[in-house]
Amino acid sequence: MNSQNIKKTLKRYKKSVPPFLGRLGTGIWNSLEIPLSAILERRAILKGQRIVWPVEEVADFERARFLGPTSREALVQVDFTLLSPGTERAQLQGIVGNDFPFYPGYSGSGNIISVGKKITKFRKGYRVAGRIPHQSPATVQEQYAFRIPDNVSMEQAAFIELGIIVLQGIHKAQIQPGETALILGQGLIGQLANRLSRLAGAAPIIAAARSKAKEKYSVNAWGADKFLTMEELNEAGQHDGYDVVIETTGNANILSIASCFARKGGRVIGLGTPRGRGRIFLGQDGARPGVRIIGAHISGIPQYEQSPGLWTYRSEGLFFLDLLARQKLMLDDLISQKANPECANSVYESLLNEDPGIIGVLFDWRSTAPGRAKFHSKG
Amino acid sequence: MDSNAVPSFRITKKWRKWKISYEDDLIEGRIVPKKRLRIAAVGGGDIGILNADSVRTARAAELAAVCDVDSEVARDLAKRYDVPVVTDYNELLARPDVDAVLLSIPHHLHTQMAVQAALAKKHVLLEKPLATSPQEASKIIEACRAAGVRLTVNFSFRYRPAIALARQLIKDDTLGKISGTQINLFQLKGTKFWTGGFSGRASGDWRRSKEKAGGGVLIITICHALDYLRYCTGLEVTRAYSEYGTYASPVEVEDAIAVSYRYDNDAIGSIASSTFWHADKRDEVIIWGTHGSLRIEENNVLRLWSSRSWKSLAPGKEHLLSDFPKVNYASKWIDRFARAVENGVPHDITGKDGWINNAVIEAAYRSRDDGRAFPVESFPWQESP
Repeated sequence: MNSQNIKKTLKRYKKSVPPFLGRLGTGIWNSLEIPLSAILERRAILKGQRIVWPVEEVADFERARFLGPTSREALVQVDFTLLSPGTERAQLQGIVGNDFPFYPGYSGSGNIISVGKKITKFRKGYRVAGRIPHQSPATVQEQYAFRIPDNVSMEQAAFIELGIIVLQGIHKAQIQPGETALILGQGLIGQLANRLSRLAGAAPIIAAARSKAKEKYSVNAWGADKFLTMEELNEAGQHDGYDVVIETTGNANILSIASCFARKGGRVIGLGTPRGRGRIFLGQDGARPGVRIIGAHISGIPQYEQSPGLWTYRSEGLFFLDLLARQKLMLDDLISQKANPECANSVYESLLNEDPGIIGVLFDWRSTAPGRAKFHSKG
Repeated sequence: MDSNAVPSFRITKKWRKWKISYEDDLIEGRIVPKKRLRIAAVGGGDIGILNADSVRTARAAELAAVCDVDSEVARDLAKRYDVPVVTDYNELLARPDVDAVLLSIPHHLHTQMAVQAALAKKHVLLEKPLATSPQEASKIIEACRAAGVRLTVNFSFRYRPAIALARQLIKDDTLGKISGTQINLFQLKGTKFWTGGFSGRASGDWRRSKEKAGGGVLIITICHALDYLRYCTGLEVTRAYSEYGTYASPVEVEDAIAVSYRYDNDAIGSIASSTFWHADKRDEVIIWGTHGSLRIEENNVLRLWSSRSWKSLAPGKEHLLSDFPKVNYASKWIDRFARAVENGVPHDITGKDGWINNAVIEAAYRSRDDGRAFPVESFPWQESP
């Protein structure tokens, strides 16, 4: 029996005991979970810091103990983690069904400080990027980590997961040179979609969002050609439509809007995580025949077998870092803020308030651990 | 003396309990001034005794005399205090060894006796409320201003550490923008209270009379909470509407009341109170804002929930803050008044605070007669003595 099984069993029995016993059980489990799991799973205990959301709409920074890496994981001293504004706002508001307390974050970079016995690709001291939560140190599985090329900064590499999310959508869109593209939503995913569509050869690229707040990030030589608010987009009225419409906001109903903007036979790519339930009215005025709606959520990415338009997670990650190494993709201007994780409370408050200044926020973990995390080796 | 002096709080966790310690400008309390303010305590009822005791413990003041017109109460005072006991108020005011009077007397006598004291060039410390109405309160303020004496009202709850911490939490934006407050006071004030106070040692039926007391539970008891809410939040009530009545007490004034009001920042507020509540006493003030809520409960208990962190308090949890240092807040009020007089500056709590308190209460009372919300008058002067 491992700690996960114990956790499941406790959860099951919690419902059948009086609430105070349930609370007592939870309290005891919370204090025992790490040491018990460490014994059962023969893992080390690490001390570090992390961002936690104790309840909906509240973020905090805490010092905590974590389980050390398994034999298939590497231990990373984290330098930067990227706040993914759209996804994390939805999670923080509890509208995507996550439980609390919740430990957010899924994209970051750092240095490997130890590797498990079965790790073959990495060694201590490697700079890596991958699926890393907002915490330091962090363990990362070999298949979710990528070695960072020498000329790519840690800050740029921290965008890795978002890069993969967008790249796999761009691949599924199978953009041909000269095709017109409309990117709906100009959050971080939308910004990356502008830039990667440009690399794929789309032209012109129209960026659209609710307000003009992010226009300065969107329209440039390496991004979109034109920026329209949703109002302006609607006022522009009927025309031939766009070859590719990429929806990045996660609005469940936006697919029906997007279908109005796709040309006959065009593609609508659903990149955002759908929030709530939506209805699609393909027969409404303006929708054109032959429009293909392509689900491109990251959860559908293949792990092993690759085919045209359906690259694997690893291929996308390596390609993203390669684009950065060859300086084909610009990211520095998207970093709006480097925040101390200890200020997580106010950073997430700004996020909830939809502060237009928040675009790409990197949590800088280097300043939180001057002595670096203590690593208790299993010996 | 800085009237906005903020104590610095330290908060530590000991056995799952938050221990709060603080240091404020009480540091000055450790220095005994060369000349102490000689205060005569007037009125020998329950509160009069408490106030006289507090004068004795205030380091910057000394009890110069005690006074009560009732000869039996005066005899009792003589037994308690080793100071001259006077039964004639005019005789007391004529004494050169008295610098100030602390009036713990029925509400309807506040104006007359405070004005007399001012004319006799004695500084005035008044038990709350300042007067029975803002019009009466104006007379006191004008008399003190003309005589060049200092005036204060006993809203000393402000010095309770829990209230000081509540103010600090609000100042530090833990609640965000204040959007509402609520005062709930449910307690049993039996017939005995209305005729003789808590112990009955100084009997009298002035509390039962609208004319003499100025009102019932709102002006007698809730005035404290109204004042410290204003102190904590910095908000002013702009209009009030009330419904009240006399339901279960042998009195003319209200024994139960419900009030709704609006603040100058558009926040809303309400009061619910009954004095014939036989269940356990319920005394709480709730303040809520865009980012948190704070409950001030009886016996110095605070419950804070905030989405923002404050010192060692984590966000997103309710924190019970109850381990406060014990402070004689009435004594602190007197001590600070004595030092204010010595330094030639107004006290933290001036006639303005008492006047505004009276104005809110009057608006609430008058609204019922009008059947609509009544605007709260603005304080007519810039400052108050």
